[in-house]
Amino acid sequence: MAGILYGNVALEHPGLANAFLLLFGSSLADFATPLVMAGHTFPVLPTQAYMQITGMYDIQGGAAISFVLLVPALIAYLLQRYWVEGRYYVTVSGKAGARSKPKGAGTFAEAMMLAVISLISLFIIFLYSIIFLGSLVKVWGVDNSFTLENYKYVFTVGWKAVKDTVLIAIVSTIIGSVLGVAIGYLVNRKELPGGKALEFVSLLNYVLPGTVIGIAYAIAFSSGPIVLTGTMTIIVALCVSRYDATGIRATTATLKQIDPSLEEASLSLGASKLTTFRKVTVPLIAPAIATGTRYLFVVSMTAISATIFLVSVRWSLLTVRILECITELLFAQAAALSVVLVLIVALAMWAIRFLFSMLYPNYYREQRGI
Amino acid sequence: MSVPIYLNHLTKIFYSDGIAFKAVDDVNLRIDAGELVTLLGPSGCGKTTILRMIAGFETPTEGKVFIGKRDVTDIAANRRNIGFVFQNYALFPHMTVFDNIAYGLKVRKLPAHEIKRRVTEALQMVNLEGVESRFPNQLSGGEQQRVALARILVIKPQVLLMDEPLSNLDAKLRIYMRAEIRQLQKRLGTTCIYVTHDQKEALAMADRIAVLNEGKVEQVATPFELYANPASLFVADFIGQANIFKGKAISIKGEYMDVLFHGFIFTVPINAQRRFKFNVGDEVALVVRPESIKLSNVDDRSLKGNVVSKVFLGDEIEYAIEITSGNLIRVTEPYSKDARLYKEGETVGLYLDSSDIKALPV
Repeated sequence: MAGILYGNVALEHPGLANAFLLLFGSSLADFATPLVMAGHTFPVLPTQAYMQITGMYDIQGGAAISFVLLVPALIAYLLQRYWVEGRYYVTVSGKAGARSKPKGAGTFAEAMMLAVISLISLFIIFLYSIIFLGSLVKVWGVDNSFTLENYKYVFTVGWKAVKDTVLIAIVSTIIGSVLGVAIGYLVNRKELPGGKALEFVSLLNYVLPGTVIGIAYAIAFSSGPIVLTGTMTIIVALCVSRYDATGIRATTATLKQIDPSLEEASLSLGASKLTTFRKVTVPLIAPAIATGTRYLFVVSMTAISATIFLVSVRWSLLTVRILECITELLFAQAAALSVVLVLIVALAMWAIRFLFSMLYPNYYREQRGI
Repeated sequence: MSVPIYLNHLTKIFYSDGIAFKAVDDVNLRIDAGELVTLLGPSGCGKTTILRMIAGFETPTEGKVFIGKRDVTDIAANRRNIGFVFQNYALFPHMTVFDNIAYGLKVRKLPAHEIKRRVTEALQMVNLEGVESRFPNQLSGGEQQRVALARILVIKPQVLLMDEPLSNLDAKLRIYMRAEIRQLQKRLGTTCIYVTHDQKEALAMADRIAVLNEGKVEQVATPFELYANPASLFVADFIGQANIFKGKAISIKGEYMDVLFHGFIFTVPINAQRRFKFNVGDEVALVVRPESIKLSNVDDRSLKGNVVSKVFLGDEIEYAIEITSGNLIRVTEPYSKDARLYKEGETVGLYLDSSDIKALPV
């Protein structure tokens, strides 16, 4: 039992470390939650930086505050790298054994876990239900009569934000997915000079709090050789550079688990490097690509902490629009916008899954354990 | 269609953290067309690296690889027309058996009916039929090995390279498969290089064996020659079992040399041996195979020893005998129903024919 536990934990090691990194980073840098929920009664660094810039037009002050955020984020990142670095986890070798089923944790423990997870799920469903209901009433808590006015608002006043956001998300997802696979592959499979540095830098963007990145982009591209302020390019660039880390990490983690002899076998059978990449490598890392693609789309749709510093009259975002509604106390309209956002994301998730199961049916066969 | 392989001054140096490691050190080797040569040696001796350089997975630091008349040193792995069998089979887990075997043919853009015909043919060749639509993880180790072979045979490679292909199979299947691979290779006449660390496998399969140690070729010879006339102490020790005594050359007369070892003088032939040059006064290693020594009653002239242990192995009886010098000597006697068994602690005489002693420089 201890052996199984240890073995599983050892194999899950990169997964655990990644989860740790993700949670720590996101709690540290969370922007929207404290902004909407606490306002200035519970000031946190990211919202303070935002207030400083948008409220007082003090971009230097904002930059200074956000800089303080860097220290814990970097420490977490370096710890995590030290932790996972230099280990070897090949589990997809060309020698196929019957895949072993993970052993259960025991009936009682499983029941407990199920209970806890169910409670959490119920809570999440509860939250979403409130948003949905809130979008169908005139004024939440005051006039609860049914109306579709809020959705009319979405398709008129809010429509530009919806269109812009979807376009930006699609473009970011496509560029980011291709780039993510390319970087993950180059770093893992090629003796690339500076490959490690490339990986480090690509992940750095991710561990830095969004506020920091957003302010940095706003400052860096407002003057100087490249001026991108107010363009779609700057938002896409930010989404890709910031959220590609998941795709890269997933690709990296999966590639580490794939025996290089599979690629060598393909080469020796006469396939070119490109064919090998297409027919062997990509199908085997398809789950990682799917993960990266889904994640990119979701965050490009829902990101706010960094992008809020980059929106303009020309390019507006759903999330920023929702925040504006809230500050204007248009809660029902905000709820309707949120529902539309959730639906778009859900639809995209389904579409990406469908696409990958069409392209790589055998991977999904494997995943189902048939 | 089979072609020879030449390795000319093949050298590979790996660098890790600034430290250079010479994995392969100036290897020269000729493998004749249709021949099966095994590269044999302990782990880390460079045998797999040599194979990988022939395949094109590694680039030599120095030296050249020729397949037939073609210098392939700078040619990409996918243009060498070789078949490589991996230790772990390297079957594509996301493809069926059919697609795995058809892979090389699809890459060559053969028409579908031709692919189907050749895949079926290849599966027959490895005695595996009716599994086309299965996935690798639904097959046993032996079946996966056959699929890996079929996947290679189907592209009719000029050269077969095998990297410990049987090491993941159980002992019985291993013996069965090695015979099968050998038959197949002979029938197809494909030139083959076979890497193994298992000397029995090497002796059983090879036309010739190249013994490697620390990146260098110690000896290339037929299995019989290798066993009978090892060219170095390493080979003598690595192939089969050997008793090694270190003595001193006290006189050299023509084709014979007298070697003094703890008060005994052994007269050993030197001319029948390899090209070693011995001088009087040199330290000389004497190599004697355990089965060359006969045990009998003690008499005045014989080398004496006490039986320290006796192990009955069925087909033979293995003794460890401590001689007066303190050296332990291993002796095996074949089983026969009249065989005399010596008890532990018994004093016995050891007899050996001088022609069974090989003198090697230390």
